[in-house]
Amino acid sequence: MTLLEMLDRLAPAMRRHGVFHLTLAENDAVLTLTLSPAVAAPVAQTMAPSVRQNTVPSPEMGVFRMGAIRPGSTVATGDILAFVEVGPVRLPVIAPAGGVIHTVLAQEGDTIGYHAPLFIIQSE
Amino acid sequence: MRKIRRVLIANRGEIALRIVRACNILGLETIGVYSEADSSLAHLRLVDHSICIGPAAAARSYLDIPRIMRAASLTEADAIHPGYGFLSENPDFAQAVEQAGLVLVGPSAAVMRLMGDKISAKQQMRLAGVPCLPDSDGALPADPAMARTICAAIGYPLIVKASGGGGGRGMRIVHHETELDTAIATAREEAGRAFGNPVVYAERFLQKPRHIEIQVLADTHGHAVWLGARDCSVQRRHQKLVEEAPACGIAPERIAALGALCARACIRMGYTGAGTFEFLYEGSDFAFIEMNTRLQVEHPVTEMTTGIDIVREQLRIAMGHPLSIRQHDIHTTGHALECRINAEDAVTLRPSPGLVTKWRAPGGPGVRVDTHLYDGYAVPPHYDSLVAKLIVHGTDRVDAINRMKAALDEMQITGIATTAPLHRRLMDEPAFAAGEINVHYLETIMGAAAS
Repeated sequence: MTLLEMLDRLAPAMRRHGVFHLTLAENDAVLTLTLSPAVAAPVAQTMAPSVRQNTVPSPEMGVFRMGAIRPGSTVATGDILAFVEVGPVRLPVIAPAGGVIHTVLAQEGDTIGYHAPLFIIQSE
Repeated sequence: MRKIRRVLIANRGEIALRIVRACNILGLETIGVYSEADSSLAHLRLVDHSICIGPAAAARSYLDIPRIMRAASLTEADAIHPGYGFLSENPDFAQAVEQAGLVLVGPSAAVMRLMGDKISAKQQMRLAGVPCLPDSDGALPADPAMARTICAAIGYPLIVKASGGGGGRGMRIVHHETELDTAIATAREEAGRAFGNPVVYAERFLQKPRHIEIQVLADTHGHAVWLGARDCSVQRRHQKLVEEAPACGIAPERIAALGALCARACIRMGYTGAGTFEFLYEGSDFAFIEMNTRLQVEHPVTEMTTGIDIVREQLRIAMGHPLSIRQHDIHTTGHALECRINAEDAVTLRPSPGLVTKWRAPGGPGVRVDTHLYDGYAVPPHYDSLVAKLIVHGTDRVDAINRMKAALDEMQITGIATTAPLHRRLMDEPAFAAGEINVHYLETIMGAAAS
Protein backbone atom coordinates (compact mmCIF):
# COMPACT_ATOMS: atom_id res chain seq x y z
CA MET A 1 0.00 0.00 0.00
CA THR A 2 1.38 3.39 -0.98
CA LEU A 3 1.14 6.50 1.15
CA LEU A 4 -1.46 7.98 -1.16
CA GLU A 5 -3.67 4.93 -0.80
CA MET A 6 -3.49 5.28 2.97
CA LEU A 7 -4.58 8.92 2.85
CA ASP A 8 -8.24 8.10 3.48
CA ARG A 9 -7.37 6.39 6.74
CA LEU A 10 -4.53 8.64 7.83
CA ALA A 11 -6.47 11.85 8.20
CA PRO A 12 -9.27 10.44 10.42
CA ALA A 13 -6.67 8.59 12.50
CA MET A 14 -4.74 11.83 12.96
CA ARG A 15 -7.86 13.63 14.07
CA ARG A 16 -8.74 10.83 16.48
CA HIS A 17 -5.35 10.93 18.11
CA GLY A 18 -4.99 14.71 18.10
CA VAL A 19 -2.08 14.71 15.66
CA PHE A 20 -2.03 17.89 13.60
CA HIS A 21 1.17 17.52 11.65
CA LEU A 22 2.75 14.45 10.08
CA THR A 23 5.59 13.85 7.65
CA LEU A 24 6.14 10.42 6.10
CA ALA A 25 8.75 9.32 3.59
CA GLU A 26 8.51 6.42 1.16
CA ASN A 27 11.21 5.78 -1.44
CA ASP A 28 11.75 9.17 -3.07
CA ALA A 29 8.39 10.62 -2.03
CA VAL A 30 7.66 12.68 1.05
CA LEU A 31 4.12 13.22 2.29
CA THR A 32 3.37 16.06 4.65
CA LEU A 33 -0.06 16.32 6.21
CA THR A 34 -1.26 19.30 8.22
CA LEU A 35 -4.78 19.15 9.59
CA SER A 36 -6.85 22.30 9.61
CA PRO A 37 -8.52 23.21 12.89
CA ALA A 38 -11.97 21.59 13.38
CA VAL A 39 -13.76 24.91 12.70
CA ALA A 40 -12.19 25.51 9.33
CA ALA A 41 -13.31 27.54 6.35
CA PRO A 42 -15.76 25.68 4.00
CA VAL A 43 -13.09 25.40 1.27
CA ALA A 44 -10.72 23.64 3.62
CA GLN A 45 -13.57 21.33 4.66
CA THR A 46 -14.26 20.12 1.13
CA MET A 47 -10.54 19.48 0.68
CA ALA A 48 -10.23 17.47 3.87
CA PRO A 49 -10.11 13.75 3.11
CA SER A 50 -12.28 12.90 6.10
CA VAL A 51 -15.37 14.51 4.56
CA ARG A 52 -18.07 12.05 3.54
CA GLN A 53 -20.89 12.71 1.15
CA ASN A 54 -24.24 11.00 1.55
CA THR A 55 -26.74 11.02 -1.27
CA VAL A 56 -30.31 11.00 -0.01
CA PRO A 57 -32.72 9.21 -2.39
CA SER A 58 -36.43 9.79 -2.77
CA PRO A 59 -38.45 7.16 -0.88
CA GLU A 60 -40.91 6.92 -3.78
CA MET A 61 -41.98 8.13 -7.21
CA GLY A 62 -43.93 11.35 -6.77
CA VAL A 63 -43.80 15.14 -6.60
CA PHE A 64 -40.96 16.85 -4.71
CA ARG A 65 -42.08 19.25 -1.97
CA MET A 66 -39.33 21.45 -0.62
CA GLY A 67 -39.22 22.37 3.08
CA ALA A 68 -36.98 24.91 4.80
CA ILE A 69 -33.81 23.00 3.91
CA ARG A 70 -31.45 24.83 1.55
CA PRO A 71 -27.80 24.34 0.56
CA GLY A 72 -25.71 25.16 3.63
CA SER A 73 -28.41 24.09 6.14
CA THR A 74 -27.10 22.03 9.02
CA VAL A 75 -29.07 18.82 9.63
CA ALA A 76 -29.00 15.95 12.12
CA THR A 77 -29.61 12.24 11.51
CA GLY A 78 -33.36 11.62 11.27
CA ASP A 79 -34.28 15.18 10.32
CA ILE A 80 -36.99 15.62 7.70
CA LEU A 81 -35.36 17.28 4.70
CA ALA A 82 -38.39 17.54 2.41
CA PHE A 83 -41.48 15.59 1.33
CA VAL A 84 -42.46 13.51 -1.66
CA GLU A 85 -46.12 13.69 -2.53
CA VAL A 86 -47.63 10.36 -3.57
CA GLY A 87 -51.26 11.12 -4.33
CA PRO A 88 -52.79 12.38 -1.06
CA VAL A 89 -49.83 11.13 1.01
CA ARG A 90 -46.72 13.17 1.82
CA LEU A 91 -43.75 10.91 2.52
CA PRO A 92 -40.85 12.43 4.46
CA VAL A 93 -37.33 12.47 3.05
CA ILE A 94 -35.20 11.68 6.09
CA ALA A 95 -31.53 12.55 6.61
CA PRO A 96 -29.53 9.29 6.92
CA ALA A 97 -26.65 11.24 8.53
CA GLY A 98 -25.98 14.60 10.12
CA GLY A 99 -24.00 17.31 8.35
CA VAL A 100 -24.35 20.22 6.00
CA ILE A 101 -26.56 20.18 2.90
CA HIS A 102 -24.12 20.41 0.01
CA THR A 103 -26.55 20.17 -2.93
CA VAL A 104 -30.31 20.04 -3.47
CA LEU A 105 -30.85 18.01 -6.63
CA ALA A 106 -34.56 18.66 -7.22
CA GLN A 107 -36.76 21.72 -7.35
CA GLU A 108 -40.12 22.36 -5.73
CA GLY A 109 -42.86 20.62 -7.75
CA ASP A 110 -40.51 18.38 -9.75
CA THR A 111 -41.73 14.93 -10.76
CA ILE A 112 -39.20 12.51 -9.37
CA GLY A 113 -38.64 8.82 -9.84
CA TYR A 114 -38.32 6.00 -7.34
CA HIS A 115 -35.03 6.35 -5.40
CA ALA A 116 -34.00 9.42 -7.41
CA PRO A 117 -31.20 11.35 -5.64
CA LEU A 118 -32.57 14.46 -3.87
CA PHE A 119 -29.88 15.80 -1.52
CA ILE A 120 -26.17 15.49 -0.94
CA ILE A 121 -25.22 15.81 2.73
CA GLN A 122 -21.62 16.48 3.60
CA SER A 123 -20.58 15.10 6.95
CA GLU A 124 -17.31 14.76 8.81
CA MET B 1 -61.41 11.00 -32.68
CA ARG B 2 -59.59 10.71 -29.36
CA LYS B 3 -56.85 13.22 -28.78
CA ILE B 4 -53.65 11.36 -28.01
CA ARG B 5 -50.48 13.37 -27.63
CA ARG B 6 -48.33 11.48 -25.17
CA VAL B 7 -47.96 7.70 -24.88
CA LEU B 8 -46.57 5.95 -21.81
CA ILE B 9 -44.83 2.69 -22.68
CA ALA B 10 -45.53 0.26 -19.83
CA ASN B 11 -42.87 -2.24 -20.85
CA ARG B 12 -39.14 -2.78 -21.30
CA GLY B 13 -36.58 -4.31 -23.66
CA GLU B 14 -36.96 -4.68 -27.40
CA ILE B 15 -40.72 -4.14 -27.42
CA ALA B 16 -40.44 -0.79 -25.63
CA LEU B 17 -37.98 0.29 -28.33
CA ARG B 18 -40.32 -1.02 -31.05
CA ILE B 19 -43.19 1.05 -29.62
CA VAL B 20 -41.04 4.22 -29.35
CA ARG B 21 -40.20 3.86 -33.05
CA ALA B 22 -43.87 3.59 -34.01
CA CYS B 23 -44.76 6.60 -31.83
CA ASN B 24 -42.00 8.63 -33.48
CA ILE B 25 -43.41 7.88 -36.94
CA LEU B 26 -46.80 9.20 -35.81
CA GLY B 27 -45.33 12.26 -34.07
CA LEU B 28 -46.48 11.10 -30.63
CA GLU B 29 -44.54 12.04 -27.50
CA THR B 30 -43.21 9.12 -25.49
CA ILE B 31 -42.77 8.36 -21.80
CA GLY B 32 -40.43 5.55 -20.80
CA VAL B 33 -40.87 3.85 -17.42
CA TYR B 34 -38.23 1.61 -15.91
CA SER B 35 -37.31 -0.32 -12.78
CA GLU B 36 -34.14 0.32 -10.78
CA ALA B 37 -32.51 -2.62 -12.57
CA ASP B 38 -33.30 -1.15 -15.99
CA SER B 39 -31.95 2.41 -16.06
CA SER B 40 -29.67 1.55 -19.00
CA LEU B 41 -32.42 0.29 -21.35
CA ALA B 42 -31.86 1.36 -24.95
CA HIS B 43 -35.26 3.02 -25.49
CA LEU B 44 -34.81 5.43 -22.57
CA ARG B 45 -32.33 7.40 -24.66
CA LEU B 46 -35.03 7.98 -27.30
CA VAL B 47 -38.10 8.85 -25.23
CA ASP B 48 -39.20 12.42 -24.45
CA HIS B 49 -39.41 11.75 -20.70
CA SER B 50 -38.56 8.80 -18.49
CA ILE B 51 -39.24 7.91 -14.89
CA CYS B 52 -38.07 5.17 -12.53
CA ILE B 53 -41.23 3.53 -11.19
CA GLY B 54 -39.92 1.06 -8.64
CA PRO B 55 -37.44 -1.62 -7.62
CA ALA B 56 -36.17 -4.44 -9.83
CA ALA B 57 -38.91 -6.90 -8.82
CA ALA B 58 -41.55 -6.81 -11.58
CA ALA B 59 -44.34 -7.15 -9.00
CA ARG B 60 -43.38 -3.70 -7.70
CA SER B 61 -42.58 -2.11 -11.05
CA TYR B 62 -43.85 -3.36 -14.43
CA LEU B 63 -46.65 -5.45 -12.90
CA ASP B 64 -47.69 -2.85 -10.32
CA ILE B 65 -50.92 -1.25 -11.59
CA PRO B 66 -50.99 1.67 -9.07
CA ARG B 67 -47.37 2.55 -9.89
CA ILE B 68 -47.94 2.52 -13.64
CA MET B 69 -51.06 4.64 -13.19
CA ARG B 70 -49.19 7.06 -10.91
CA ALA B 71 -46.40 7.38 -13.49
CA ALA B 72 -49.01 8.12 -16.18
CA SER B 73 -50.59 10.80 -14.01
CA LEU B 74 -47.26 12.39 -13.00
CA THR B 75 -46.05 12.53 -16.60
CA GLU B 76 -49.46 13.59 -17.98
CA ALA B 77 -49.66 10.72 -20.45
CA ASP B 78 -52.97 10.31 -22.25
CA ALA B 79 -52.44 6.80 -23.58
CA ILE B 80 -50.66 3.65 -22.36
CA HIS B 81 -49.16 1.00 -24.61
CA PRO B 82 -48.74 -2.19 -22.57
CA GLY B 83 -46.60 -4.12 -25.10
CA TYR B 84 -46.73 -7.89 -24.48
CA GLY B 85 -46.42 -9.81 -21.21
CA PHE B 86 -46.59 -7.86 -17.91
CA LEU B 87 -49.98 -6.05 -17.73
CA SER B 88 -50.89 -6.38 -21.41
CA GLU B 89 -53.69 -8.91 -20.87
CA ASN B 90 -54.76 -7.86 -17.40
CA PRO B 91 -58.42 -6.68 -17.50
CA ASP B 92 -58.04 -4.97 -14.11
CA PHE B 93 -55.29 -2.84 -15.58
CA ALA B 94 -57.37 -2.07 -18.69
CA GLN B 95 -60.19 -1.04 -16.36
CA ALA B 96 -57.90 1.19 -14.27
CA VAL B 97 -56.73 2.91 -17.46
CA GLU B 98 -60.32 3.44 -18.61
CA GLN B 99 -61.39 4.75 -15.20
CA ALA B 100 -58.51 7.24 -15.18
CA GLY B 101 -59.86 8.60 -18.45
CA LEU B 102 -56.83 7.42 -20.41
CA VAL B 103 -56.67 5.33 -23.58
CA LEU B 104 -55.25 1.82 -23.50
CA VAL B 105 -53.64 0.75 -26.75
CA GLY B 106 -55.65 -2.46 -26.85
CA PRO B 107 -59.21 -3.73 -26.45
CA SER B 108 -61.67 -2.70 -23.73
CA ALA B 109 -61.46 -4.24 -20.28
CA ALA B 110 -64.81 -6.00 -20.87
CA VAL B 111 -63.64 -7.76 -24.06
CA MET B 112 -60.30 -8.58 -22.45
CA ARG B 113 -62.12 -10.22 -19.54
CA LEU B 114 -64.42 -12.14 -21.89
CA MET B 115 -61.47 -13.58 -23.85
CA GLY B 116 -59.32 -14.13 -20.76
CA ASP B 117 -61.71 -16.80 -19.47
CA LYS B 118 -61.24 -20.07 -21.39
CA ILE B 119 -64.89 -21.10 -21.21
CA SER B 120 -66.42 -17.76 -22.20
CA ALA B 121 -63.82 -17.34 -24.97
CA LYS B 122 -64.74 -20.72 -26.41
CA GLN B 123 -68.44 -19.84 -26.22
CA GLN B 124 -67.78 -16.64 -28.16
CA MET B 125 -65.85 -18.57 -30.80
CA ARG B 126 -68.60 -21.17 -31.19
CA LEU B 127 -71.16 -18.39 -31.64
CA ALA B 128 -68.98 -16.81 -34.32
CA GLY B 129 -68.53 -20.14 -36.10
CA VAL B 130 -64.79 -20.38 -35.31
CA PRO B 131 -63.77 -24.07 -35.07
CA CYS B 132 -63.15 -25.38 -31.54
CA LEU B 133 -62.09 -28.74 -30.14
CA PRO B 134 -65.14 -30.93 -29.46
CA ASP B 135 -65.73 -31.24 -25.72
CA SER B 136 -68.26 -32.42 -23.14
CA ASP B 137 -69.79 -28.90 -22.96
CA GLY B 138 -69.55 -28.78 -19.17
CA ALA B 139 -68.95 -31.36 -16.44
CA LEU B 140 -68.98 -35.09 -17.20
CA PRO B 141 -71.96 -36.76 -15.48
CA ALA B 142 -71.47 -39.20 -12.59
CA ASP B 143 -73.26 -42.00 -14.47
CA PRO B 144 -70.55 -43.96 -16.41
CA ALA B 145 -72.95 -44.94 -19.22
CA MET B 146 -73.92 -41.31 -19.83
CA ALA B 147 -70.26 -40.25 -19.72
CA ARG B 148 -69.42 -42.94 -22.31
CA THR B 149 -72.13 -41.64 -24.66
CA ILE B 150 -70.82 -38.06 -24.38
CA CYS B 151 -67.21 -39.18 -24.91
CA ALA B 152 -68.12 -41.31 -27.93
CA ALA B 153 -69.53 -38.13 -29.50
CA ILE B 154 -66.27 -36.25 -28.80
CA GLY B 155 -64.18 -39.07 -30.30
CA TYR B 156 -60.90 -40.67 -29.18
CA PRO B 157 -58.21 -39.96 -28.14
CA LEU B 158 -59.56 -37.49 -25.64
CA ILE B 159 -58.33 -35.88 -22.47
CA VAL B 160 -60.18 -35.76 -19.17
CA LYS B 161 -59.34 -32.52 -17.35
CA ALA B 162 -60.12 -30.96 -13.99
CA SER B 163 -62.40 -27.93 -14.32
CA GLY B 164 -60.69 -26.12 -11.49
CA GLY B 165 -57.17 -27.27 -12.17
CA GLY B 166 -53.99 -26.99 -14.13
CA GLY B 167 -50.39 -28.10 -14.11
CA GLY B 168 -51.12 -31.61 -15.37
CA ARG B 169 -52.89 -32.78 -12.21
CA GLY B 170 -56.34 -34.24 -12.59
CA MET B 171 -55.58 -34.98 -16.24
CA ARG B 172 -55.88 -38.29 -18.08
CA ILE B 173 -55.40 -39.05 -21.77
CA VAL B 174 -57.84 -41.74 -22.94
CA HIS B 175 -57.12 -43.65 -26.16
CA HIS B 176 -60.00 -46.18 -26.05
CA GLU B 177 -63.45 -46.30 -24.52
CA THR B 178 -62.34 -49.28 -22.39
CA GLU B 179 -60.01 -46.98 -20.41
CA LEU B 180 -62.63 -44.30 -19.87
CA ASP B 181 -64.30 -45.32 -16.57
CA THR B 182 -60.99 -45.71 -14.72
CA ALA B 183 -59.58 -42.49 -16.22
CA ILE B 184 -62.61 -40.44 -15.10
CA ALA B 185 -62.53 -41.99 -11.62
CA THR B 186 -58.81 -41.31 -11.07
CA ALA B 187 -58.99 -37.80 -12.57
CA ARG B 188 -61.94 -37.02 -10.25
CA GLU B 189 -60.11 -38.30 -7.23
CA GLU B 190 -56.92 -36.37 -8.12
CA ALA B 191 -58.85 -33.20 -8.89
CA GLY B 192 -60.75 -33.43 -5.61
CA ARG B 193 -57.56 -33.91 -3.65
CA ALA B 194 -55.52 -31.29 -5.49
CA PHE B 195 -58.08 -28.54 -6.10
CA GLY B 196 -60.95 -29.38 -3.74
CA ASN B 197 -63.19 -29.64 -6.79
CA PRO B 198 -63.83 -33.08 -8.31
CA VAL B 199 -65.55 -31.72 -11.45
CA VAL B 200 -63.95 -33.00 -14.66
CA TYR B 201 -64.71 -32.44 -18.32
CA ALA B 202 -63.52 -34.10 -21.51
CA GLU B 203 -62.01 -32.63 -24.67
CA ARG B 204 -60.62 -34.12 -27.89
CA PHE B 205 -56.86 -34.70 -27.56
CA LEU B 206 -54.52 -33.83 -30.41
CA GLN B 207 -51.29 -35.82 -30.42
CA LYS B 208 -49.04 -33.99 -32.85
CA PRO B 209 -50.66 -30.67 -33.61
CA ARG B 210 -49.06 -27.63 -35.18
CA HIS B 211 -49.55 -24.19 -33.63
CA ILE B 212 -51.11 -21.88 -36.21
CA GLU B 213 -52.33 -18.38 -35.46
CA ILE B 214 -54.21 -15.59 -37.24
CA GLN B 215 -53.25 -11.93 -36.77
CA VAL B 216 -56.16 -9.48 -36.74
CA LEU B 217 -56.62 -5.71 -36.57
CA ALA B 218 -59.96 -4.16 -35.63
CA ASP B 219 -60.84 -0.47 -35.39
CA THR B 220 -63.43 1.41 -33.35
CA HIS B 221 -65.64 1.90 -36.43
CA GLY B 222 -66.71 -1.73 -36.81
CA HIS B 223 -64.04 -2.82 -39.30
CA ALA B 224 -61.74 -5.79 -38.88
CA VAL B 225 -59.12 -7.40 -41.11
CA TRP B 226 -56.92 -10.48 -40.86
CA LEU B 227 -53.25 -10.35 -41.86
CA GLY B 228 -52.51 -13.97 -42.67
CA ALA B 229 -51.29 -16.88 -40.56
CA ARG B 230 -48.16 -17.64 -38.59
CA ASP B 231 -46.77 -21.05 -37.68
CA CYS B 232 -45.27 -21.10 -34.17
CA SER B 233 -44.86 -24.87 -33.76
CA VAL B 234 -41.19 -24.72 -32.77
CA GLN B 235 -41.59 -24.37 -29.03
CA ARG B 236 -40.41 -25.84 -25.78
CA ARG B 237 -42.62 -26.03 -22.70
CA HIS B 238 -45.11 -23.73 -24.47
CA GLN B 239 -42.34 -21.17 -25.10
CA LYS B 240 -42.15 -20.31 -28.79
CA LEU B 241 -38.64 -20.15 -30.25
CA VAL B 242 -39.12 -19.90 -34.03
CA GLU B 243 -42.08 -18.34 -35.81
CA GLU B 244 -42.83 -18.04 -39.49
CA ALA B 245 -45.32 -16.63 -41.94
CA PRO B 246 -47.14 -17.92 -43.88
CA ALA B 247 -47.87 -21.41 -42.48
CA CYS B 248 -46.30 -23.83 -44.96
CA GLY B 249 -48.36 -26.62 -46.49
CA ILE B 250 -51.75 -25.15 -45.63
CA ALA B 251 -53.80 -23.96 -48.61
CA PRO B 252 -54.19 -20.14 -48.64
CA GLU B 253 -57.95 -20.55 -49.18
CA ARG B 254 -58.25 -22.40 -45.87
CA ILE B 255 -56.35 -19.62 -44.07
CA ALA B 256 -58.54 -17.06 -45.83
CA ALA B 257 -61.71 -18.80 -44.66
CA LEU B 258 -60.41 -19.03 -41.08
CA GLY B 259 -59.16 -15.42 -41.18
CA ALA B 260 -62.57 -14.20 -42.30
CA LEU B 261 -64.19 -16.03 -39.35
CA CYS B 262 -61.71 -14.41 -36.93
CA ALA B 263 -62.33 -10.93 -38.34
CA ARG B 264 -66.08 -11.54 -38.07
CA ALA B 265 -65.68 -12.70 -34.44
CA CYS B 266 -63.86 -9.42 -33.67
CA ILE B 267 -66.70 -7.32 -35.06
CA ARG B 268 -69.27 -9.49 -33.27
CA MET B 269 -67.74 -9.02 -29.80
CA GLY B 270 -66.61 -5.41 -30.30
CA TYR B 271 -62.92 -6.24 -30.26
CA THR B 272 -60.56 -3.32 -31.01
CA GLY B 273 -56.82 -3.17 -31.64
CA ALA B 274 -54.37 -5.90 -32.65
CA GLY B 275 -55.10 -9.45 -31.60
CA THR B 276 -54.24 -13.04 -32.34
CA PHE B 277 -56.42 -16.13 -32.56
CA GLU B 278 -54.39 -19.21 -31.68
CA PHE B 279 -55.25 -22.62 -33.11
CA LEU B 280 -54.02 -26.18 -33.00
CA TYR B 281 -53.89 -27.77 -36.44
CA GLU B 282 -53.90 -31.51 -36.97
CA GLY B 283 -55.05 -33.66 -39.87
CA SER B 284 -56.27 -30.56 -41.77
CA ASP B 285 -58.55 -29.38 -38.93
CA PHE B 286 -58.20 -26.17 -36.93
CA ALA B 287 -59.18 -25.96 -33.27
CA PHE B 288 -59.28 -22.68 -31.36
CA ILE B 289 -57.12 -22.60 -28.20
CA GLU B 290 -57.19 -18.97 -27.06
CA MET B 291 -57.11 -15.38 -28.15
CA ASN B 292 -54.21 -13.08 -27.26
CA THR B 293 -55.70 -9.64 -26.76
CA ARG B 294 -52.42 -7.78 -27.35
CA LEU B 295 -49.41 -7.37 -29.61
CA GLN B 296 -47.36 -10.55 -29.90
CA VAL B 297 -43.60 -11.12 -29.81
CA GLU B 298 -43.75 -12.65 -33.29
CA HIS B 299 -45.68 -9.81 -34.98
CA PRO B 300 -42.65 -8.90 -37.19
CA VAL B 301 -43.01 -11.98 -39.44
CA THR B 302 -46.47 -10.75 -40.39
CA GLU B 303 -45.14 -7.21 -40.88
CA MET B 304 -42.47 -8.55 -43.23
CA THR B 305 -44.88 -10.57 -45.36
CA THR B 306 -47.69 -7.99 -45.51
CA GLY B 307 -45.70 -4.74 -45.33
CA ILE B 308 -48.07 -3.47 -42.62
CA ASP B 309 -46.66 -1.77 -39.50
CA ILE B 310 -48.81 -3.48 -36.88
CA VAL B 311 -47.68 -1.27 -33.97
CA ARG B 312 -48.41 1.90 -35.92
CA GLU B 313 -51.86 0.51 -36.80
CA GLN B 314 -52.47 -0.28 -33.11
CA LEU B 315 -51.69 3.31 -32.18
CA ARG B 316 -53.84 4.70 -35.01
CA ILE B 317 -56.75 2.53 -33.86
CA ALA B 318 -56.28 3.83 -30.29
CA MET B 319 -56.34 7.38 -31.67
CA GLY B 320 -59.77 6.58 -33.11
CA HIS B 321 -58.77 6.44 -36.78
CA PRO B 322 -60.47 3.94 -39.07
CA LEU B 323 -58.20 1.16 -40.41
CA SER B 324 -55.94 2.49 -43.17
CA ILE B 325 -56.20 -0.84 -45.03
CA ARG B 326 -59.06 -2.95 -46.29
CA GLN B 327 -58.98 -6.71 -46.62
CA HIS B 328 -58.46 -6.66 -50.39
CA ASP B 329 -55.38 -4.41 -49.92
CA ILE B 330 -53.64 -7.09 -47.87
CA HIS B 331 -51.34 -9.52 -49.67
CA THR B 332 -48.75 -11.92 -48.37
CA THR B 333 -45.41 -11.81 -50.17
CA GLY B 334 -42.57 -14.31 -49.75
CA HIS B 335 -41.75 -16.05 -46.49
CA ALA B 336 -40.53 -14.67 -43.16
CA LEU B 337 -38.82 -16.40 -40.25
CA GLU B 338 -38.10 -15.15 -36.75
CA CYS B 339 -35.62 -16.67 -34.29
CA ARG B 340 -35.91 -15.59 -30.68
CA ILE B 341 -32.45 -14.90 -29.34
CA ASN B 342 -32.76 -15.48 -25.61
CA ALA B 343 -30.06 -15.02 -22.98
CA GLU B 344 -30.16 -18.75 -22.27
CA ASP B 345 -27.81 -21.68 -22.58
CA ALA B 346 -28.47 -23.25 -26.01
CA VAL B 347 -28.52 -26.80 -24.57
CA THR B 348 -30.14 -26.52 -21.13
CA LEU B 349 -32.08 -23.29 -21.92
CA ARG B 350 -31.15 -22.06 -18.45
CA PRO B 351 -31.11 -18.25 -18.15
CA SER B 352 -27.73 -16.64 -18.74
CA PRO B 353 -27.95 -12.98 -17.76
CA GLY B 354 -24.86 -10.77 -17.61
CA LEU B 355 -22.70 -8.25 -19.42
CA VAL B 356 -22.80 -8.21 -23.21
CA THR B 357 -19.21 -7.42 -24.10
CA LYS B 358 -19.69 -7.37 -27.84
CA TRP B 359 -22.79 -7.14 -30.03
CA ARG B 360 -22.64 -7.16 -33.82
CA ALA B 361 -26.03 -7.26 -35.57
CA PRO B 362 -26.30 -9.02 -38.92
CA GLY B 363 -27.54 -7.08 -41.93
CA GLY B 364 -28.21 -7.17 -45.64
CA PRO B 365 -31.38 -7.41 -47.74
CA GLY B 366 -34.31 -9.05 -45.99
CA VAL B 367 -32.68 -9.03 -42.54
CA ARG B 368 -34.28 -7.23 -39.59
CA VAL B 369 -33.14 -7.24 -35.98
CA ASP B 370 -35.44 -6.05 -33.21
CA THR B 371 -33.27 -5.70 -30.13
CA HIS B 372 -32.34 -3.47 -27.21
CA LEU B 373 -28.79 -4.83 -27.12
CA TYR B 374 -25.66 -2.68 -27.35
CA ASP B 375 -22.01 -3.17 -26.41
CA GLY B 376 -21.68 -3.05 -22.64
CA TYR B 377 -25.38 -3.65 -21.89
CA ALA B 378 -25.93 -5.85 -18.85
CA VAL B 379 -28.89 -8.25 -19.18
CA PRO B 380 -30.56 -8.17 -15.75
CA PRO B 381 -31.60 -11.49 -14.20
CA HIS B 382 -35.06 -10.29 -13.18
CA TYR B 383 -37.05 -10.50 -16.41
CA ASP B 384 -37.79 -12.51 -19.54
CA SER B 385 -34.61 -13.65 -21.26
CA LEU B 386 -35.46 -12.41 -24.78
CA VAL B 387 -32.67 -10.07 -25.92
CA ALA B 388 -33.13 -9.97 -29.69
CA LYS B 389 -35.42 -11.11 -32.48
CA LEU B 390 -33.68 -12.01 -35.68
CA ILE B 391 -36.13 -11.77 -38.56
CA VAL B 392 -35.52 -12.58 -42.23
CA HIS B 393 -37.71 -12.24 -45.28
CA GLY B 394 -37.05 -14.33 -48.41
CA THR B 395 -38.80 -15.06 -51.67
CA ASP B 396 -39.88 -18.47 -50.35
CA ARG B 397 -39.26 -20.69 -47.31
CA VAL B 398 -36.00 -22.17 -48.66
CA ASP B 399 -34.67 -18.68 -49.36
CA ALA B 400 -35.73 -17.51 -45.89
CA ILE B 401 -33.94 -20.44 -44.23
CA ASN B 402 -30.76 -19.67 -46.21
CA ARG B 403 -30.94 -16.02 -45.18
CA MET B 404 -31.47 -17.04 -41.56
CA LYS B 405 -28.41 -19.33 -41.65
CA ALA B 406 -26.25 -16.52 -43.05
CA ALA B 407 -27.62 -13.99 -40.56
CA LEU B 408 -27.03 -16.32 -37.60
CA ASP B 409 -23.46 -16.92 -38.80
CA GLU B 410 -22.90 -13.16 -39.09
CA MET B 411 -24.42 -12.24 -35.73
CA GLN B 412 -22.00 -11.92 -32.80
CA ILE B 413 -22.92 -11.77 -29.12
CA THR B 414 -20.19 -12.28 -26.56
CA GLY B 415 -20.37 -12.22 -22.78
CA ILE B 416 -23.65 -14.11 -22.45
CA ALA B 417 -24.85 -17.49 -23.71
CA THR B 418 -27.74 -17.34 -26.17
CA THR B 419 -30.11 -19.62 -28.06
CA ALA B 420 -28.39 -18.69 -31.36
CA PRO B 421 -26.43 -21.99 -31.65
CA LEU B 422 -29.68 -23.94 -31.19
CA HIS B 423 -31.31 -21.93 -33.98
CA ARG B 424 -28.32 -22.49 -36.25
CA ARG B 425 -28.59 -26.24 -35.67
CA LEU B 426 -32.33 -26.19 -36.23
CA MET B 427 -31.92 -24.43 -39.60
CA ASP B 428 -29.80 -27.43 -40.75
CA GLU B 429 -32.32 -30.06 -39.59
CA PRO B 430 -33.83 -31.87 -42.60
CA ALA B 431 -37.22 -32.20 -40.89
CA PHE B 432 -37.39 -28.45 -40.24
CA ALA B 433 -36.40 -27.72 -43.84
CA ALA B 434 -39.14 -30.10 -45.00
CA GLY B 435 -41.69 -28.38 -42.75
CA GLU B 436 -42.37 -31.60 -40.87
CA ILE B 437 -42.84 -29.92 -37.51
CA ASN B 438 -45.34 -30.01 -34.68
CA VAL B 439 -45.38 -28.63 -31.13
CA HIS B 440 -43.27 -31.55 -29.84
CA TYR B 441 -40.62 -31.31 -32.58
CA LEU B 442 -38.08 -29.12 -30.74
CA GLU B 443 -38.21 -31.17 -27.55
CA THR B 444 -37.64 -34.32 -29.61
CA ILE B 445 -34.49 -33.01 -31.31
CA MET B 446 -33.20 -31.44 -28.09
CA GLY B 447 -33.77 -34.75 -26.31
CA ALA B 448 -31.90 -36.57 -29.07
CA ALA B 449 -28.94 -34.21 -28.67
CA ALA B 450 -28.87 -34.60 -24.90
CA SER B 451 -28.79 -38.41 -24.94
